[in-house]
Amino acid sequence: MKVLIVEDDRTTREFLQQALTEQGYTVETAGDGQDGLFMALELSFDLIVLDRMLPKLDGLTVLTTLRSGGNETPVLILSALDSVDERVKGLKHGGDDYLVKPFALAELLARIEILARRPAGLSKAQTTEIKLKNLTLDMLGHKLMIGDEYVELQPKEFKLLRYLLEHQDQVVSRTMLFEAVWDYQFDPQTNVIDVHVARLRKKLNEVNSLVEIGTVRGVGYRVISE
Amino acid sequence: MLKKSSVWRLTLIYTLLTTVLVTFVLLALYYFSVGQVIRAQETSFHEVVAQHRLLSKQLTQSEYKLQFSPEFQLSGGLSLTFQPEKGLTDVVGRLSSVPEHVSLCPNVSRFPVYQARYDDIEILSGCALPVYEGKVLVAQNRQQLERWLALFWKTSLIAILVTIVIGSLCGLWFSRKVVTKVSSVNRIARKVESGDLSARIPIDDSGDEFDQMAVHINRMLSQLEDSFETVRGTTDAIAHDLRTPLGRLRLQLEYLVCQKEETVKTDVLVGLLEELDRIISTFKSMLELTKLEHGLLGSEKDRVSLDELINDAVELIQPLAEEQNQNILVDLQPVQIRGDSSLLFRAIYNLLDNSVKYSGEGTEIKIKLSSKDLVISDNGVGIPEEDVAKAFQRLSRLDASRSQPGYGLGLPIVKAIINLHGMKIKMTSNNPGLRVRLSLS
Repeated sequence: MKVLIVEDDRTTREFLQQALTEQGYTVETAGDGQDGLFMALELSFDLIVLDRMLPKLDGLTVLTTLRSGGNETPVLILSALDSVDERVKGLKHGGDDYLVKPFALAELLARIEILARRPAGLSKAQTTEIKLKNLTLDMLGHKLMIGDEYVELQPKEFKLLRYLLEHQDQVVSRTMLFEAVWDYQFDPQTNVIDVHVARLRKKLNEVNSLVEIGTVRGVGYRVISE
Repeated sequence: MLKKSSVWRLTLIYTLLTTVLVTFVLLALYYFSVGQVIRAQETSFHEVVAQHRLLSKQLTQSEYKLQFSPEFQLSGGLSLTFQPEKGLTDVVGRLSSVPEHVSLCPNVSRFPVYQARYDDIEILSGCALPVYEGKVLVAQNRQQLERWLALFWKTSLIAILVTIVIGSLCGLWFSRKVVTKVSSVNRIARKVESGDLSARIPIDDSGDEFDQMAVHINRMLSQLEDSFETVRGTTDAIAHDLRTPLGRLRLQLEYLVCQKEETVKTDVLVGLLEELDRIISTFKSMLELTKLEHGLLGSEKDRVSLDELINDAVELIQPLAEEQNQNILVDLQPVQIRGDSSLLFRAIYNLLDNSVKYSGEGTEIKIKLSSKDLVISDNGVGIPEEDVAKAFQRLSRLDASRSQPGYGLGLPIVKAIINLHGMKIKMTSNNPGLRVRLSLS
């Protein structure tokens, strides 16, 4: 996996480079918008992490130029501008995800992983059911089966489980879960998502599901397929 | 200095204007009264002169003489005297002779005549017209008129003097009043400039333009003072809510640096990270609140179905309520409004979160939505009546020390979001518990 990091703050850039390299990504970096755009056009990447405010060429301009040139590399925008309006703007210009500074590294890694693997995730979304161990999630009928047994789930619980299963083996942060299930741009800032996951987990345990929702400390959750 | 000069300038202008006005009125009065009489007299005088010039040319001297018999004497205060030739012979008319040095018509001169009848000297104005060998004198007594005229001018002079005196007094009073009002505005402005934002321009309830201006300026000052207070409050709040945890974080880090062991326990670091996250989230909320209060967020409004949004919020909060054995009762009518769904969701979630967090164990939380309003009420511990107003203020957690983490910005953010959507929010006691009413539209 090749990742391009376009970020003008040196400490952040070097830290991200190190962290992503440790995760097994091949990382290239650029310190301003011009270099970033040049590298993005010349080399091919699986993902671009793009700072919003850059010297020489603004992040959104880089993004627009890339997209108008037909480059469809997933782009994660990093920004100090945190309002919903700014976020909408970033996504409208062709960004695939938007993360506000200061961010948790784990959150960034989780989002990068999901973006980098997205093509596979997309094909999963089109399937009509997800099977894992003794669990079957029927997307069309909005039903959960454990073995042959039908388990009643509330709509939000269903969405929660579905998102976790669609991203199995990937770390999913609380914010990502909230945004996927509730579809509002807002950070509840409480343990409310944990409580929801705990309830779902309890429900699965009660029906002897072999699928477990694991906790990743400080980040969120992960369903392991093995 | 400025005040003095503008008072005098205004007074002068005022006095000048009134004087000019009064003079103009007097002139008009003269033209249509005394002036009219004088013009009429002069006209008839010259008519008579012209008449006699004509008569003297058309009639014989003896015929002409007949004109001076008393029955032909012309009226209109004119005295006619005919002296056929030099010397005193055959003089007919009012006077016994025609005085020597009377100017020839149309030049009019004044001359004294002795009136034997009254044993008095009369001043006549007139002119002599040469006819035949002698001359005819046309004269009239203008004394009465001249007395009137003198009287008129005297009165006018007095009137103008009185106008100047009264005008300048009024002007002085009037401009004092205006300038005093203006300079009171100036004084207040100077006070505000020097930092006293509580200064207000006195209002006399007259409702005039000055009063209205004062009301507007005062209102502006109040708004200014409010935002200043907010800034001051915010700075204090930032000092407390950011400095305290930042200080704590710094202390802990310092402690770690000073530790003898080389390895640092992970849970200590996780604790520090959590502390930092709380600081970041407080900081974020502060920024957001400021933006909301200044209308910098939520510019894109869509149709939002409020009942669905409330259902989503209830679904999110439900497990937290269940943990405290709280019961959420929902009664929703379908309602559509224009708004920013994420912001509205946040506002409603914050309100619910507030109820769940603070109403206490085992309470009942009711949510009722109609086309008119949304009411969220609980039967928990509530808050004291006197603190209700404070609840929506920035960073008032109803306890001054704010020892509980994470709260204090929730309700102000709710209020800012609600205001942004042109709605009103009111918090009252539910006896027992708390009742929050959100009036839509």
